Amino acid sequence: MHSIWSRANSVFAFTLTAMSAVTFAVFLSTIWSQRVTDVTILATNPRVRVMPDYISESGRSDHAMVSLNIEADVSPIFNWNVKQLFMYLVAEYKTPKNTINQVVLWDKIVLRSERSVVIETNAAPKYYFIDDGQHLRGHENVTLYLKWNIIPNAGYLANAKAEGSYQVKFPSQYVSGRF
Amino acid sequence: MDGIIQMLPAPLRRFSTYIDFAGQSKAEKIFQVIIVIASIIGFVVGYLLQQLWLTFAILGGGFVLANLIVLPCWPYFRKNPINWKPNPVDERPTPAAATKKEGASPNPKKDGKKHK
Repeated sequence: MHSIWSRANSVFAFTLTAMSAVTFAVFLSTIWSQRVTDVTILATNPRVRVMPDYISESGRSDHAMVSLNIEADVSPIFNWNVKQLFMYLVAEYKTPKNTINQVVLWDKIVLRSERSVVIETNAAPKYYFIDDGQHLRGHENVTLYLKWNIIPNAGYLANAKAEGSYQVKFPSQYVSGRF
Repeated sequence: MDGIIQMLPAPLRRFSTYIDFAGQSKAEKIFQVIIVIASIIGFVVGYLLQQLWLTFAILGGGFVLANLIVLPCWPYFRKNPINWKPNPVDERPTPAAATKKEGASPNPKKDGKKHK
């Protein structure tokens, strides 16, 4: 503290320590905040076709398509410690080959500064819905869930699943040609 | 900083950035109090308004304020000057020594304790 440089060094180092304490306090203040809300999911016009899939054993796989309608109001989840929300729609189902299959069909990043009501009407899935095999034709119980990843400013990433799902029943006939 | 000041032209060389020991402990307490209070105020304001940038803006403001108060050598930090014992050899300064070398005396016993 005898010279200007050592005083500057002390003040700066103390400020950094105080900043880390404040960051930890920010993290503690949002440990119990709300992570889940209600959403409405609707999937119309489910159809399945067979496509050549050179990666699989049999060489052919089921390829499914739906039209997505999602309504989600995620504003209660945002607080001063949430930077953005990464939400994704997952189709979960069981087949004789695999106990559980999870396929992500659609995702979206919602920043804190943007509108936090997500409404998708008749949206096409962003990613292909290809089964591991040929088990989607006539499948009665493919459930669509909306999940999200809460990306904080300070602390760990939390995962959450929204309240609300939709069960898709695929027809028992393949569609020929392109969708 | 004092080394840099010695490289300036002659009229400016009498400035110094030291503060005495009582001033150093005052300065340390002052900046610690300012930064802790700025952290607490920043946290409370940010929590109430739910904006994180406010918290760090207030902390940054506290940092700037602490620097302005503590870094320059205000007279408040020089109230208890150190009373150096007079160096017996230096009590007879010669004009030749003052003009030959800039500020450095040819006396080998001196080791930089002169802060007058």
